[in-house]
Amino acid sequence: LKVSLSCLIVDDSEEFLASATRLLSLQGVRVVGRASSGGEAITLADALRPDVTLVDIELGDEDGIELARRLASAAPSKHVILISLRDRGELTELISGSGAIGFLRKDVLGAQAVADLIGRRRQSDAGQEPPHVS
Amino acid sequence: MSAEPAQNRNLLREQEALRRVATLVAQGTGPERLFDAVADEVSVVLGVGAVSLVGYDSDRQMFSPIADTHGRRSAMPPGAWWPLGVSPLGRLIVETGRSARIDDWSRLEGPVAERHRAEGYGPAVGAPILVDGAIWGYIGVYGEGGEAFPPDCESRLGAFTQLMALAIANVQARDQLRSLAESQGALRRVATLVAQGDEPQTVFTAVAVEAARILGVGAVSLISYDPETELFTKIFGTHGERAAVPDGGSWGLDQCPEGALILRTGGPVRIDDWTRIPGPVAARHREQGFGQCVAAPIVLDGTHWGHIAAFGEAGQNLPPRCEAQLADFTHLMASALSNARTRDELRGLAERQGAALRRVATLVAQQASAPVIFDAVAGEASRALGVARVDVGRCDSGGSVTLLGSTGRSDVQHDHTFSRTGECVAAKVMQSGTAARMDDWATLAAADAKVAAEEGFRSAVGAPITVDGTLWGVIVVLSDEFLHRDTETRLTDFTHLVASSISNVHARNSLIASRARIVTASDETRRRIERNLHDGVQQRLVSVALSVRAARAYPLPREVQSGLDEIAAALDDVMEEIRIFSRGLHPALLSRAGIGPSVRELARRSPVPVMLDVAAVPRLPEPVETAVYYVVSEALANAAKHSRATEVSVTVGCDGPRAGAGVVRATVADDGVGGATPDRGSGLIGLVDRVEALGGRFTLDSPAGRGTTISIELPLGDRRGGSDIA
Repeated sequence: LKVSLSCLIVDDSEEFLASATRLLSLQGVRVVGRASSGGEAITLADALRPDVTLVDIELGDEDGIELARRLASAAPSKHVILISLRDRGELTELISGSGAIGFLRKDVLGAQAVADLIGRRRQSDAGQEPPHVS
Repeated sequence: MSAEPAQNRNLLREQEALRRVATLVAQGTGPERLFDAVADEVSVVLGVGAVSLVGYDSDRQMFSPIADTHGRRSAMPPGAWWPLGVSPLGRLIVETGRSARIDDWSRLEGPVAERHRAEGYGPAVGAPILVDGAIWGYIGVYGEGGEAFPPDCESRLGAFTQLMALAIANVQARDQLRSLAESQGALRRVATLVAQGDEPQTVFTAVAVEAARILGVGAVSLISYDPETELFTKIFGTHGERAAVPDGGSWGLDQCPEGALILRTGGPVRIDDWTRIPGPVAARHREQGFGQCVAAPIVLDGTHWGHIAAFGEAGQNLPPRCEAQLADFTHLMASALSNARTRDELRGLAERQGAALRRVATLVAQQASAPVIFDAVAGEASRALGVARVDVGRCDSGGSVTLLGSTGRSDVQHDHTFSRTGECVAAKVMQSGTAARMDDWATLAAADAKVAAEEGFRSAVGAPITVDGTLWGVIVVLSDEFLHRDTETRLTDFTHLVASSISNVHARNSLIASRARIVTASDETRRRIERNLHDGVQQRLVSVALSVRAARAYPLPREVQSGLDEIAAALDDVMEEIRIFSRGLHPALLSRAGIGPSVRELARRSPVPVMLDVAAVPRLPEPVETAVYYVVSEALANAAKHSRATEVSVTVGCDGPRAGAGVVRATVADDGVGGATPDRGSGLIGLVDRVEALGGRFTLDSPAGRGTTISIELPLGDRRGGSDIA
């Protein structure tokens, strides 16, 4: 275990937050916080400084894209990944320009998928090797 | 899944059924064929055993089954008239004026109830069909066995009866217009005969024959009356060998019941029952198999000249409009005969009035817009009556008049509103409800009168436009010469036509509004279902899927591992199915981001390369955005499926929106094989329906071998097409 990622999950479904936390934790990610609204997410991200924040695009009545934009511009060194139940193909127009480093459909969420997106971004930024997780 | 998605599915199916029926109404489908479609849809949507369409007579004492799906189980075959008392459901609807249901037929009496029980029908629900505010009939549904209908059955059936009512109102408006045009045509033929100097007998023959044809009755007589001798003389009849009195024969008051009645009442009369009328004429009438008689006076230059009598065949039920048709006809004929004195003038009338009314009737039939129709009415009235100025205006409750059409004015625009409280012709018409005139302006103090005098007008005549029994507007003609005293009569002819066009446009406007409501309701339902799936079932399934994958991280026996693998794979399949279903329901991106991003997304997914030109389109009303999206989506799908195109161009642009105005345009053009038609299962007909429901325009240009171009234009704001004259 070279790197243990810290992660904040933002989603308005308690059930999803619980199952995603359980899965990511088992796969070696430290889920340091969970938020169910934009306001909570900003506060937690400030306090916890997670390596990566997962943001649901449809955050109840709030706009997850707008939240991603704020998180990414407030802490550009940290990473935001958008998540949704829908296919990327339905949302490409929204994802591009959100400041997020990538998108994951919720059912393929996992530690490796998150690490791959971060790795790809670091590679394109500085030519680094992607991190490994157990 | 829970009960909710099943409910959603039913709602969706019902919205689609309503949309199919609304499309038929919009296509001008007649009530009988429409009923077949309604019966099919209602049977499926409400899951009932049989459906019937029933009409009432005008005073709702009788009813007649018009069509049904009972087949051999029918209690009463369509076509016959029955007393209201025998139909428990029909009577309840008339008594309450609203939907009715009968859950328990076991203690009801009468032939209908007995038959109902014998055929094993269960509960029944009926919803009234309201046409022009009155109960025209109802649609009844009959369940199999004993299970009661759900409580919302009445309101769901009501949605279908509303569409049925629209179709009936449409047909009635068309019928009224057609019969008016026919009457006018008959007048023209009669007047032409007189103008040609034909023998009076030829003219009278033509009058009787035309009247018999227009009314569709067994025979028509033309009878004159001499007040000095108190004798009726039969000028001409179409009875042939069935005549009681030969042409030229005379008889007294006691032998001519309809003539005597007319002399007493001064208006049109109807005799239903000849059995108790004494005398040889009535006896001969009965023998020859004539039934009802409708007659109307002919008044020539203010004096009673005689009457026209129409005789139905025995058992023929002459419709209530018969009196009015005959009265219109005699009225027109009287003015034709009156004008016969001056042959030149008459020839002018025959040519001008007949042709003028036809031109206006054509515009109405072509569904021209309100300003076009009313300007044409004013122009034709001006030419036919030889007057310098004609105004057509609409009355409102505050006593003012809004100008809808005019000729001979240079000063005022359409929609200008005048206060009409002073002494003027329009005010007189509005107060009295009848035609009025004004010949001397000099003595009047009102501003309007001064203006008229200054403009050099000598004489003005106005006539009311009466729609559905209420004063709708006025038509006023002004002349610098004294207007002949038959002007009131001739002007009244024009107001009949105007009234008919208004009633027609009214029917069309309510149809457009109803289609828009249905399309919007259907989209709203789909959007809600998509939302419910997303926030409910899909969210839960993905959580379960992640939990299953979490469970697989633990060391487990191999059998358990492979079981979990199977569960995970099955969950993936289920989620994929729902995602596909969900995408077909409503485009999520459209609600979130509007037309621009959604159309770009469609272009990205298109298998045929797309040249995209999408202007910065602001957020628009949801029905408009949805229509643009579906048009582009369907056009791109067609291009990929059928056209063998190598490139498609998509252009979307928007003028406005300003308050209550603006238009959005979209064009999809491919370089494929062309030859697309809206009727070949291409999904285009659904688009046409959707666009027209929003008052927009859909054009398809697809010449064989030269590509396909689909263009739409949708108005923004409140004025979504249709004329606003009603």
